[in-house]
Amino acid sequence: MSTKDIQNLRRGFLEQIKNIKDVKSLEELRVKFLGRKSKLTVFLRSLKNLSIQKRREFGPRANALRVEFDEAIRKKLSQFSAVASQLSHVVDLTMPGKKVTLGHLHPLTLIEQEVIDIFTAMGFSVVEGLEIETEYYNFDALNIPKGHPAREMWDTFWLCELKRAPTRTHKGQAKYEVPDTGRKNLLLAPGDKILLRTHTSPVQVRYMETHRPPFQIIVPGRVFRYEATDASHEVNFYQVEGLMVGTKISLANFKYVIEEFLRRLFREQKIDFRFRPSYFPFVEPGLEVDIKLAARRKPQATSRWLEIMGAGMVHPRVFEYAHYNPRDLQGFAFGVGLDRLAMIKYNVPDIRLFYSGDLRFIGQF
Amino acid sequence: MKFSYTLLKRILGPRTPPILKVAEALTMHSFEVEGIAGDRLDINLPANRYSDAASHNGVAREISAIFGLHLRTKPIKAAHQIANRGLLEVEIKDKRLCPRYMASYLSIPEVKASPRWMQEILVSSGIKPINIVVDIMNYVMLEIGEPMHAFDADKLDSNSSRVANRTIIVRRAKPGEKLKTLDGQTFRFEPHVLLVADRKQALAIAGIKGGASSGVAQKTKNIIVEAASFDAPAIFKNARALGLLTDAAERFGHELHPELASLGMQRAVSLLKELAKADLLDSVDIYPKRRKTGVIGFSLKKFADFSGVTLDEKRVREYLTFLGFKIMDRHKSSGGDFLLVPPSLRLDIQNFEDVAEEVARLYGYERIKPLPPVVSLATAEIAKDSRYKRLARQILIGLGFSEIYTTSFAPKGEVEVQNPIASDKKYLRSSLHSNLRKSLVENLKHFDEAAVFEIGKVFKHSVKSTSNKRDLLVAENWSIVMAKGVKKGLPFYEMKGAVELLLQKLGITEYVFLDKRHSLEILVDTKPIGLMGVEELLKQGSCAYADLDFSALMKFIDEERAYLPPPKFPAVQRDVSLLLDLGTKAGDILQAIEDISPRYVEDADVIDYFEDKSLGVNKKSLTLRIVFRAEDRTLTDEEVDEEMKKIIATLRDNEFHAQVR
Repeated sequence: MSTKDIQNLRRGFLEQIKNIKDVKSLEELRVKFLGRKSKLTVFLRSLKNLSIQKRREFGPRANALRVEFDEAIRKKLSQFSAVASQLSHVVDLTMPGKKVTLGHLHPLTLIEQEVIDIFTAMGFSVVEGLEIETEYYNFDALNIPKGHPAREMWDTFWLCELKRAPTRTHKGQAKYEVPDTGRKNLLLAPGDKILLRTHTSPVQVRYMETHRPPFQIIVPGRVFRYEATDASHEVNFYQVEGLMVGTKISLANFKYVIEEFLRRLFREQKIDFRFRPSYFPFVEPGLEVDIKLAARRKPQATSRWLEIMGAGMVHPRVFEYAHYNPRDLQGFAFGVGLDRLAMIKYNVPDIRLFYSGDLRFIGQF
Repeated sequence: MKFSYTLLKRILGPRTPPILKVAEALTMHSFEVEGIAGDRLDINLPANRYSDAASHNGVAREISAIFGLHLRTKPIKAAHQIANRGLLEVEIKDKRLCPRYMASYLSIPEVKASPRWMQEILVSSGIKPINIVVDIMNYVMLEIGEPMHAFDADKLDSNSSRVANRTIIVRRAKPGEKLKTLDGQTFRFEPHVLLVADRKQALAIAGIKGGASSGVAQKTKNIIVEAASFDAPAIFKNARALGLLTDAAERFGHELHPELASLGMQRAVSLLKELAKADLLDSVDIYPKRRKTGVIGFSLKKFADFSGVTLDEKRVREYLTFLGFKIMDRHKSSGGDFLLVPPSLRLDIQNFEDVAEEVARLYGYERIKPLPPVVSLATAEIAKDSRYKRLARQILIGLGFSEIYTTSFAPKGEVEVQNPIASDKKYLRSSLHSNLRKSLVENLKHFDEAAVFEIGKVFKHSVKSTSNKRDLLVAENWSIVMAKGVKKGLPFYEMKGAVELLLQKLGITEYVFLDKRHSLEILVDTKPIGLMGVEELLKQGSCAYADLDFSALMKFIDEERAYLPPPKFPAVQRDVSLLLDLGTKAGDILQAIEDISPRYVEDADVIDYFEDKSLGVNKKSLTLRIVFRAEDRTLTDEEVDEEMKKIIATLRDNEFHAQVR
């Protein structure tokens, strides 16, 4: 380090410290000029290797520079803390923050909104269905006729038949009307049995009856199963139905959409997928989708395959029920349990927590 | 359904892959193997595969197709020589419930134990060995998939004089008819239950379980072997109703091809001859309406469109041949299009898509490369319900309410459940109110205050009247209930403020509140859309709630906003404290003020309120803030003083008798 170097260093320092406006940049300056790797420190440390003459010449000058820098930084720092201490005189900055209340969204709402956002970004429309359905839409139109053993896959809550309305003229019928959003009320023929939908799939046929392909929709909503409640079963729970129909929508397209959806939902590029054969009467072929999440996730969700959804290519008979010509069209459908997704994503061990109304649970989301 | 790996190996030969590999391959290409225990595979058989795969032969065929292994055993020919010597007669009374019935009459020198290998296979499939006849019946069911039954022939028509001639009648139960089954239970039948009987009495519950009186025992000399075909829904229903979910009922409860009966019979008779030295005396086959197998067209091009994978014809033919399809080559010239005859037992294969599934799953779904769909761009629409729910939720959490989800079932309501799961869940909820109340009571055990809301469907009956008729309807509507509970105090005013903000944020400005004494009714555009009120919460405190018909409210939601410039001229504010009768309603006073000076009063609000004995008996004090403004100029102090005087004088002289404090 020459005399000129020392002068340059000093000039640079004085120029820069003038422009320092906050503690953070002051600290950056200190590291630059006095830190372990700074020119000055490196030079001071190398003094012992120099000749005695050089040591005598540069040692005191470098040391003086160090002291000057140090004092300048201290001085600047005291200016900043003066401002801070004036404020802290009035406010105890260490007091806990005041509790501001904001409500919490239910985790199933959070996950539903996330699912909706992912699918709308892929061009899927969001459709709502009915919780009370007819036997026709819940079963028959989905290629599950009466007496079909597959009906046993869905334990059903049936609703009592409506009694004839009180009437003086005796012309009244016990018609069932279910208000259907987006169109006129629907009157059903007497004798139609009504039930609580066991899946969101009835919306497939309802939607196809009033829309022309190509289209892609999802249908989130509450569904019902007559089964004993335990940590993984509830009598009411949530599903999202998906349906994409066009002239050339293929199984390969289905795999793309589902993999894309699950990667985005779990914010995870490395998910192992398993697509394997399964059976649902309203799709052909039917598939089951399993996932395995990366190991850094919660341990319960990583070690084994998790069944995520049932899916498949829309059965030609379902197209026929919707008055489509199955020869012109193909598409895929899937149904995914929202509760199950939320349990995996948020590490919730018991499905009943979702329906407990307990704010110690809800307050965590 | 349980399967023995040993038996699968017997059928497939020594090149059978190890059990774990078999399980994995079946799960990925055929159906799910739910568990492995020793030699046993537990398979979750799909409802449409019972006809071909509820058997070791069927599962072995799947394995052979997946691994490209040829079966060691030659398939049994369905052709079966029928003797019809007249020793045995079969009569089917209901041909819809029993499309086919085969019976063979055999003499048997000795009913001993079955060979060890057979017993081992039975045990590993979860069946208890009994004697050689019963074991062969069960073994044939395992191997072929047809549930078989054997009767002791000498126990039939035991009182009849024509001992040489045995008769089997398939008919529905007579009123009050009873049968003691092999396991010692006695059943009394409903008249629709199908039975197998002799001339005098019931011998077995068709397709479900055999009777005790005709069971094969050690002393048995002659047997009648049954292989039949029954109506699946009927068997399914009867087995459920009787609580007899036997191996036979499980299979017959799903549709089985009538050909299985002849495959089973042939195998059973040959095993009885071979292992039990039995002698076939007579046989009968009643099969009036034969099932035909159709022809299906398959196209490689169509398959490529459907699956997104292009496969060469050779591979596709190989897959299908292994599965037992017959490929008809007449249309060979048309390049990748051919006609197929599916294996007769495959009742699940009826159209192109069914065949495409066979090819795609054998190829492997995991090998199909994901492809982004190519479609015309169309805007994604979000249903109004969905959008408005999200909007309301965002506002409500901003107001400090947390969202809960509660059960759709209730002890009381209007829409009744036919098969309730519990006595307090007999109805569908007609309101969310009581569920939220319950949640508050629980939450106040842990918190000093709690604010919750739910957006959910409620269910009611309604009557729709037209000029000459009244129809009863089920109505399913969205509801929002907000509830705030506190240990001390009454949070009603906060609730009211929250409801107003919710309405305003939803773009609803035309609302009024109507005092209904015990609750406050909310009207939008003169339509009642909800109620607000207060109530006690057991010993926990009290709560305020608002119950809104969200479906009705949705019609008024306005997401449009329009900017209005701020007023040009300043406002003048005056505060005044009034002494009033305790019963005077603040809302009435504020309304009166706006009516007295409609031109200049921009707003009137209550900023302080108290009751005290010092004010006098039954008196209260309200401090009001009145904001005056003119649209066209700055109001002078004198003008405002004048208006204030007018207001105070009017309130003093009318029914309010207000005094300025």
